Amino acid sequence: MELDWSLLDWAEIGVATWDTLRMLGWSLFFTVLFGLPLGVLLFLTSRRQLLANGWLNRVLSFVANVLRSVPFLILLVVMIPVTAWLVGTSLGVEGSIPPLVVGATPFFARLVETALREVDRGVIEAVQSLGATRWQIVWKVLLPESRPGLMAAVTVTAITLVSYTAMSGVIGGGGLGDLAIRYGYQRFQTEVMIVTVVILIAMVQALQMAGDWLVARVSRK
Amino acid sequence: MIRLENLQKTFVVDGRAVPALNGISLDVPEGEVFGIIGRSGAGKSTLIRMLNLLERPDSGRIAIDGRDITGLSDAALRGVRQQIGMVFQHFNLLSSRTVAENVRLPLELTASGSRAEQDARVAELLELVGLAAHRDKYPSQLSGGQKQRVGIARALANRPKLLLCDEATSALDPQTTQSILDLIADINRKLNLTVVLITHEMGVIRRIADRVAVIDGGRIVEMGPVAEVFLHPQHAATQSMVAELSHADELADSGLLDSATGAVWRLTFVGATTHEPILFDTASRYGLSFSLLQGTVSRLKDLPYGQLVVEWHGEAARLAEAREGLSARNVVVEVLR
Ligand SMILES: Nc1ncnc2c1ncn2[C@@H]1O[C@H](COP(=O)(O)OP(=O)(O)OP(=O)(O)O)[C@@H](O)[C@H]1O
Ligand SMILES: [Mg+2]
Repeated sequence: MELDWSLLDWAEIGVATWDTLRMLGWSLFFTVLFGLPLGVLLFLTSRRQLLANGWLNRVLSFVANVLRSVPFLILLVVMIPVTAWLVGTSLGVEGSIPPLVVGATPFFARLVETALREVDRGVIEAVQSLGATRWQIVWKVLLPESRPGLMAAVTVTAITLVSYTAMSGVIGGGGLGDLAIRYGYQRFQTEVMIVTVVILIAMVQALQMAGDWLVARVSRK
Repeated sequence: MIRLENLQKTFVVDGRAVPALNGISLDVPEGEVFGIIGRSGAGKSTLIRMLNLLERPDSGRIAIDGRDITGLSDAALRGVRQQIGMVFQHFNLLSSRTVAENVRLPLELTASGSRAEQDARVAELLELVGLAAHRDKYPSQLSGGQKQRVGIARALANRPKLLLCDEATSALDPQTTQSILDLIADINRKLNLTVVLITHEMGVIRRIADRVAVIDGGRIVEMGPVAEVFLHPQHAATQSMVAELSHADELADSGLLDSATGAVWRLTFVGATTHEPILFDTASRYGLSFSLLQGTVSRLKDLPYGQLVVEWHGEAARLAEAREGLSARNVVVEVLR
């Protein structure tokens, strides 16, 4: 098969890339906004922790597991009415953000919970022995001490979100996924497919490198 | 300062009851260095963690400065904890904070003083523990002894009246242990701070404690001034821990005791007697000859003491006189053979 690169509409690819970046940025922002407290709560309510509460922990855990076990493509479809009600449309960049956030938040929260578990119990106890409140323990110990783990969690989540944004293109979410589906799949323009895949790979690489750099920067161990 | 009454604690592990403390009662007066010693699993950590309620007793009373803390609200308990410093075996420093930031943490928690006042207090504390030059390092860049100094500075930041040390030197080499114990003793004197420390090493007790409680199987089996417990241990657990330090078991192993033909006595003396030529005086006065089988001359905190195992040769009547003469000079004589 001959590839003809002259047919590529670079302006449209540019717009699609920008859309993907916007989807990624906003959905990552909201995922961290909701996922961080959820992860902290999952951790604190677990056994032998500061707010140990079996009942609440089981409920949160169950919700997180259910959301995580729904395939993202199905979540996208199921969420359409909710999204339309929330942001007025289920299409475009705006329309893709709610399902992305709902899909990624429980995933991120679990990563946060795991990162917090890495904090030495003895350190928490030492700070308790100094008369710290639970709130102070969260802010002054748990979050700062698990910073490298949290940075890694954000990185992994961002990369997961890149592939989710591509999938949301399927239901008209816009961005690079949308482009790949419309041109590459429906009109057999393999060139578009190749370019979008290359851009997505570059994005993931850049995120991973930035994430690794940040983790190394905040590691004091 | 501290009064514990009949503390009980049983852990439940996988549905099975693991008794940890079984009726602990003790008093620690202000300004004292009180040691708690016991074998692994004896319940030492459980006990010391109760003094600031990191662990709650199933029953019993814990009074600090005359106030029972077991019934306090969360807020009141935090206030009490701020008055009690604690130092840990594994230091438990925040790895994300520098030395100075670790020491500042307790001040941040209590929001005490302006930023400048906190800085001044941190500088003062780092000076006290000898770490002024390391203020901007991270814990991972410090040696074990230096980490423990940070731990001590952090524990002292809010000017506590009581310092709890949970195996504070167990992760350190002998020299570093000595320097940390010196620091704790120094702080105890300078600040008139009450210190409760737990350890499984008799050497630690010997060097800095005033009184000691020996705990075994969740009970106090022996308690008293260190000189008494250390030099005349009554309970088997105490005896074996003292023996490790004084090499008394080596004597039995060496066979010297069995091959001895004369009378073998263990002589124990403390204070000024330590510096007197007791053996020579006794031998010449009663016409005896002697050989030394084993001996230690050292200190219990500030008190010099000696413990010698001596084999005597001479007439039985003169030996009996010698024994009385030694007792009259405050030398405790135990006849081993
Ligand atoms: N959180 C806990 N859950 C269950 N059992 C515990 C817990 N803490 C202590 N125990 C048990 O209580 C007993 C006393 O433990 P403790 O830690 O007080 O001993 P220790 O004297 O400090 O020993 P070590 O010198 O090894 O530190 C042990 O049998 C221990 O297994
Ligand atoms: Mg212990």
